[in-house]
Amino acid sequence: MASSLNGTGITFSDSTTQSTAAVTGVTSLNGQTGAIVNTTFQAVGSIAFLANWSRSGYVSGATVNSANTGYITAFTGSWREIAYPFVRNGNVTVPGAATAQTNNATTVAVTGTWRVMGSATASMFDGCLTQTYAFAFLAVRVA
Amino acid sequence: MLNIEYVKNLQWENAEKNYFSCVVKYKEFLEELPAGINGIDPEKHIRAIWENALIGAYGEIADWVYVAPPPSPNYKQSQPVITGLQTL
Repeated sequence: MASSLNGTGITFSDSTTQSTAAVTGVTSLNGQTGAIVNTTFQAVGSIAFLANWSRSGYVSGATVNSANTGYITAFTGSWREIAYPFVRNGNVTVPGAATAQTNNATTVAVTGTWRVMGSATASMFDGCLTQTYAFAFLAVRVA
Repeated sequence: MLNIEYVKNLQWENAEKNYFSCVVKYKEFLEELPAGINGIDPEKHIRAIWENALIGAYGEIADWVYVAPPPSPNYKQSQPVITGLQTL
């Protein structure tokens, strides 16, 4: 029996299943060597998918200077870390767009310096032709 | 913890004055980096900048300036007007 990956975890050829992260024993991962440790979200090295999502178009004062430097530079607004799959059941979900959905997303304060690795902008209309903008960024904290 | 060479261009980023932005030069980086600073960041160097800034070590922190969001394009008005005769 070959190793397989399923909803339970990784099932190995001896039928044992690994469903949690290895605590010890793993010394390299994808070419990176050294001890693998847990990290603190928002600490340097964190990767986050961030979005501000506003019916008014923009969060006041929040700017992303990615066109020039690739860094998020100002943080007046609240940024949301999207904490669940962006596409659910084939429909694009709206993390944090309404107060009723804020439990689905985590509001984070963006401090330090984050490098934008990719960004996307979208707008859409609801049934009342109310326009919603979304600005989403995949970013890694560098300092 | 990163080592701070200098901090400049400090400005409050909200009316509550619990965030400010600035430009930081770390010894570990060749270039100056924009940074957001508050007192509860998980990184020591950010908290150090916060504490030093509050006692004036980097000079005065400029006041927060409200920046009005740019006007949204009014696509609603630009939607084509659909007219037609409904004969049931």
